[in-house]
Amino acid sequence: MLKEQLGQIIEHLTYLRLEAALIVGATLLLVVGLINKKNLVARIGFAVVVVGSLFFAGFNEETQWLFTKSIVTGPMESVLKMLFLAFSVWIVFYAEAEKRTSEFYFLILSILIGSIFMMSANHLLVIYIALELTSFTGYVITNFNFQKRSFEAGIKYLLFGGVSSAVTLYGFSIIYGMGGSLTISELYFNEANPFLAIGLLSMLAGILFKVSIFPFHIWTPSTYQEAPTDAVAVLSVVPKIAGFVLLNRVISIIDMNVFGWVQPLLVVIGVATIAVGTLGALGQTNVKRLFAYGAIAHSGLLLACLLIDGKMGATAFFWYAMIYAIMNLVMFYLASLYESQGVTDTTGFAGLVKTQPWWGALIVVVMIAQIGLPPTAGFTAKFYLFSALWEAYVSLSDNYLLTYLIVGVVSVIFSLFYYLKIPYSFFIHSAQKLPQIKFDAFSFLLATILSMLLLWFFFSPELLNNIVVKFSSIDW
Amino acid sequence: MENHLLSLIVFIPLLFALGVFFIPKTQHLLIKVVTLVATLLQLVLSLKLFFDYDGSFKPSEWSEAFLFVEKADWIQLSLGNYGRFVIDYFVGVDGISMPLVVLSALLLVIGVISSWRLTEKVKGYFILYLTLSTSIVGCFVALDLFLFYVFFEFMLLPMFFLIGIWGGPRRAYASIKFFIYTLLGSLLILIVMIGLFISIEDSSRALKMADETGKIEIVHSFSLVKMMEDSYGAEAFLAPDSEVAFGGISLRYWAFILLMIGFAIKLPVVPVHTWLPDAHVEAPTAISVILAGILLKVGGYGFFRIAYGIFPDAAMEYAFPVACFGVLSIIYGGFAALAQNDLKRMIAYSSVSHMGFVMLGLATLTIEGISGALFQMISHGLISGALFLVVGVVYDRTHDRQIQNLSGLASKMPVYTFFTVVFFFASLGLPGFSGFVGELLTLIGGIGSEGINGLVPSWLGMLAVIGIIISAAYYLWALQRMFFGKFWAREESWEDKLNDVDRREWLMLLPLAVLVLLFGILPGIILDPIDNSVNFFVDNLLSRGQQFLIK
Repeated sequence: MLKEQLGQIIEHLTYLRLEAALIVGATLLLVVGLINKKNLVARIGFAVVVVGSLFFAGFNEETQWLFTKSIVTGPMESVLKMLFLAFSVWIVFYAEAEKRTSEFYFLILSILIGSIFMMSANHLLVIYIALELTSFTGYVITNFNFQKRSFEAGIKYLLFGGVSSAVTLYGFSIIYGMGGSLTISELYFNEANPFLAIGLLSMLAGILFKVSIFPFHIWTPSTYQEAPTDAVAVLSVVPKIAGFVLLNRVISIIDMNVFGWVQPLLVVIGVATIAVGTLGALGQTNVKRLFAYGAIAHSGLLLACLLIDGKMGATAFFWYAMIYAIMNLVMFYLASLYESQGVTDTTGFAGLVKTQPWWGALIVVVMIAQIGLPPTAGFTAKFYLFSALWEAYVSLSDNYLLTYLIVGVVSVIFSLFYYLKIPYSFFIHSAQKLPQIKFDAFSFLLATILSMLLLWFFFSPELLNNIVVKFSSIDW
Repeated sequence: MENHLLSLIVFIPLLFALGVFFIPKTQHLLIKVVTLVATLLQLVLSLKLFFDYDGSFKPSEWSEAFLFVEKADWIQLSLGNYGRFVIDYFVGVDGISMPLVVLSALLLVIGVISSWRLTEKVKGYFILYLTLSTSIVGCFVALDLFLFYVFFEFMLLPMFFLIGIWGGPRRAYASIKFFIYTLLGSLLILIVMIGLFISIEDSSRALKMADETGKIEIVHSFSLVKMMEDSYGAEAFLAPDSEVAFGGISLRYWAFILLMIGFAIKLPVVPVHTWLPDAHVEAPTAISVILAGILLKVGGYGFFRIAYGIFPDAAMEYAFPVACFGVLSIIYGGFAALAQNDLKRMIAYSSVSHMGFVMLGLATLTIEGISGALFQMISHGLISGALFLVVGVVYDRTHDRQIQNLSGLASKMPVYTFFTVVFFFASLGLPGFSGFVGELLTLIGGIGSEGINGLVPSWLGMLAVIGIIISAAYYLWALQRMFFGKFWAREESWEDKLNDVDRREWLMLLPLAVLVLLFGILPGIILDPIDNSVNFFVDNLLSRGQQFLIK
């Protein structure tokens, strides 16, 4: 019996090669950092760990239940894992990466590990541990600029995070009490019960906090503004996408017909998130703060994908997540470059077209993608999302989905205002004194290639479409 | 070459834009020459299109109505039970789009000549200009709704920068206003587009694909031809027999309304026209020419091809309100033009007024009305383009456009006055000029519609005649104030600068003047080749519309 179980655990471990490689790599990186404090060593070490772990990645066509169903990995999770790694490795090229030590990259790796487990957890305790792992590293990494303002942002993040994780734990205890199991796939509630409603709401709090959905979005702007830009790039993408997968799994434990209020509630908070994000961004002048509000609005749109069943929802989700990741990678890369030259405000870009027209063009491509206009993949992503919402609305004739669709479309117009702020200032305003800004050829090449990805996926989306075909739904 | 004529016309400017990209930015002359060559090449090819176009062909269904068709696979996505989404590169022209392609190519050449003196940020300007050319022509030839939408949206960005960077003092305000208005319009179109492609099923394509892949899937297509052939799937909610309604109006009618608003913003129709005067006043001359001459026509073309072509029943149902908005634009635009002191603003409002005729002619769904609307688009393209060039001549010399700041220009600049008079008269609809033909045909349609198909009451057409009288008033008044009487200029220094038109300006104005006269005297040059297409368009729309309305 014991031997059998042990055998099973060992067999299952092979499915966690990637996670294991990351954990071993992270530990080694920390040790190497103690011996050699050179920045270059830390950067190369991080890149080696991430790229090395990618070699252990595999694609699971079938859903695998591991360790007595406490962990699950299906097609969506296995692809997203690779996406996270392939995404994060680029932060070693960010402008401030020159100051980074191995501790910093250790924390980034912890976020990655936490997010991957968050995404594949099927057990309430594993979920909690994964949530806390990403949260704690998040709190610490926010302080890495070592300035008073970033401490403030870190404390804010910590306080909000602490409260919401306490509430989540409370929710878990109720769910466990009512359902008698900690394994999500074994829980299913189809009888209305007020306690359960409280438990469910409390549990959602912690997850919504991670994906910065209204009303748990408050930490986002100051954290994004004050945290190091390379960390923000990871924070804004990896835990968020992982959080949405988890959210999808968690709401699957209830019968939506019995708990009729859940879907309207999600629609209301989703719509409110879009509204808060877009309206909040209108007044911002700090580049990173503006992007933070934009990211909140994107969360609202990503939430819409979870309300659509089956293949349509999975397609919309994967496309949106993928393009969101690429857009944020380039956007924060550009932000970090300009930040290193002292440009942190949208007005700081004034008149730069005279010296850097090509950089202006790249910024335009990225911003147009964020708004969702052709010919960028940002449009394709929004197009799939809106199509999926239409289709879902038609087949269910659910007016909530129509509302969501309308708000989503209207938000595009508002997003035009704030995403165009930088190109606007870049091209149309003129500056009294032009700042001397020059970037090296390598960053030029990298920024160009990354932004061209956004155009490339618009004109030839086959690659992503071929991946999407493999998903039949977001989760198992 | 024969088979790829349309692709060449569309993508030649983009290729040259790539070429311009590699020219050092100090080589102003070279950049301008390359741009000119690109647009000339585009013009030559579209003239070839014009002469090769077989107008004697009588189509009997939409699938054969388009000539010079090119089709290639672009994006395909299989979604299991939901079927397969198919987006094609699919272009072609019929009698409705062909003249607009030629018009665009002509005005784009004139736009380059008009920007010849540009000295500031030349390279960026011409790259954007060439990109704009591609997207404009692409709009007119696209037969795949997705492709159309991509070209349609992509016009916004170059235009935004062209107004925003090279525009006048309030350029920042004008460019963002332009962007927001048109983006709002195109988002409405986007919603309908998504609804349409979910409803459309291409069964013949599905069979063909089943042969290749071995499994039968529903194929959702963006093909405009399929949409005009009403190849809706079973229980599609935008199909004519669908009973899905929202707020008491069936979704099909909603779709039509959204499309109409979307394209009305572009056309523009009162009350969503307010971006136009601002954009025109701030835009550099060449861009004003493109904006008034071609971009507005994209809105009109959208009415024809998309809103009317796909939803004929809604078009018949809403003929009266559509015609009312047309007449409202004609009269409101006219009165607004009368009140302007800025010459460019006056012409901008006159554009609003003249585009009202397009809407009126379209609403009647008579052969006269539709050919009139189409003719009016071509004629207005030439005339308004020329009028903005005329304003540009004064503005280049004095950097002022106020009507009251100048008078008696006739004695100082006789040739210039001659051109101005020609274009003013052409625009106010004097017989012998192209403007007359377009307005006459639309009015015949507008007044006659009641007797032919009963869609638009006669009194609306009669009301529209007032518009012509108002336009006579503002043009003649402006002529009297600015050109006649004793020479006087507000600033003394202007007197030396106000020379008569130079060779470059001759080159721009003369062809337009000749064409305006030619089309006025021999309207058959345009009307003959498009005749069969228009007849087919009207017959097809009326028969489909009636059929759907009975259901």
